[in-house]
Amino acid sequence: MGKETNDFIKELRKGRPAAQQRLLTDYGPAVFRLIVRMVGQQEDAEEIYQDVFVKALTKIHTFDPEKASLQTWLGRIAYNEAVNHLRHSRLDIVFMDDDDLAADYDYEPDDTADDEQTVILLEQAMQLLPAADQTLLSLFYYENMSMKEIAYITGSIPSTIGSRLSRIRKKLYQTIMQFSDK
Amino acid sequence: MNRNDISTRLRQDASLREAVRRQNKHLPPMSDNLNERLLNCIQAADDKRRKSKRIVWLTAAIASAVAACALLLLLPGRMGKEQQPPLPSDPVATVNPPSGTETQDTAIEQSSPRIEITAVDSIQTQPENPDTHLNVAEPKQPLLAQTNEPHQGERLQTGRKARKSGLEKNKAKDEMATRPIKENIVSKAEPEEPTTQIAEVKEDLPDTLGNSIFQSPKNVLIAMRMLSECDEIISRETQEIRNDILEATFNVVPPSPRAILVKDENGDLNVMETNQNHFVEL
Repeated sequence: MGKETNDFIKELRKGRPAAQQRLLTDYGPAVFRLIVRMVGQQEDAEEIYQDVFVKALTKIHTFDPEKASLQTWLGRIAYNEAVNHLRHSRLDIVFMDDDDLAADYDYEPDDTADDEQTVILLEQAMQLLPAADQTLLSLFYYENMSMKEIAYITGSIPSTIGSRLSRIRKKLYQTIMQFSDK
Repeated sequence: MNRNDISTRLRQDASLREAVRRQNKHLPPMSDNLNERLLNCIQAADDKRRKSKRIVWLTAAIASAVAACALLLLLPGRMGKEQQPPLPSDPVATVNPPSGTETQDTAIEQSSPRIEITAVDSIQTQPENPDTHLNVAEPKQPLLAQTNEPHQGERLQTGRKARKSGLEKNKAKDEMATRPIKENIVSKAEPEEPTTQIAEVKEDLPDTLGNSIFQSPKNVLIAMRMLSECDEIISRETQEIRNDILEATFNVVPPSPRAILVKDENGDLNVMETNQNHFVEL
């Protein structure tokens, strides 16, 4: 971890307003995206967003740069807060079940395909996925996080994340195949 | 297929990446002033915490200052009391200077008030009176001055013999013995104040014994007799108390299985140890 990041964290620990503002500016949007993808509602997401950063600034002294990056650390707090919110709201946190994979549609997509039609169909198919699966995809593809980092955020292990992502991708393509067939 | 392969394979899916990117664009945006509101909340919380800390520190500082002031106020008062010497209990602190005697001024270190007293003639010797059991000292020996400095006078040899070993008796005798000694404590003093005190004392006390007690052998004899009577009374009362205690405690906590409580010709109780050969007529 660089010297600049170390200094930044030191400033955060001292409670400097400038450092706090920078934290919100640099990492706020990604945290918000993660939260809103999990909970769906903007108002709820903003409320959780505030809770996340208040908690983060309160516990900044517990942040260990050796274990994870600041973005990953914030992502973990945000993910846990969102999950707690969903639990309190009595909304189930659903992940794609392996049984959902239909044997007939054992389709391996062409990885190099960059079809506009495919993209549109994938986008539509993604909306049918549970929120947690969508979050995984967002973290991997949009935030460009590694499996290790995603595992840290979700409290899982990297191999499970890899398996889950593979299954989600397979599920999506099978879904768009169904759309195509129709 | 290991994890890296899976990751590489997944990353190569451009379509899926694009789909995810587009979906993120459609997510509800966060409010423009969300960060600003959040910062204000955080700053307010920080200020509140600092204020409460400040209040705590301030309270602690005030409390410690008050405690320090209280200590400063109390300590000098107590130390002042400790430094003050105990005033003589006997207000009769002076005697008319006898004729022909030389005053002995012995300085002692005393804080106010200081009493200037002149030495008196020693008590004239009296023939030993078996009734009184008190023997008076040799004649014309100056009384001992009680000072912190090495004594400059000669020690008073009273020659009194203690008849009994009661603490009260000794204490009474000591008081009587030291009374004249105290009277001979001489120090450099403020002349006006002590004489005033002495004059006042003279006026207040009834002249029952006579201020000229030490000038009259008859008065001395009377005083001695009264002293011996006091000794008798004290010893009698001491013995009665002892009898009461023995009577009350003997049955409760007998000293030994063979101990008995007997009364002598004076009516005083005593504990006696019996043995197998000893018969007691009841």
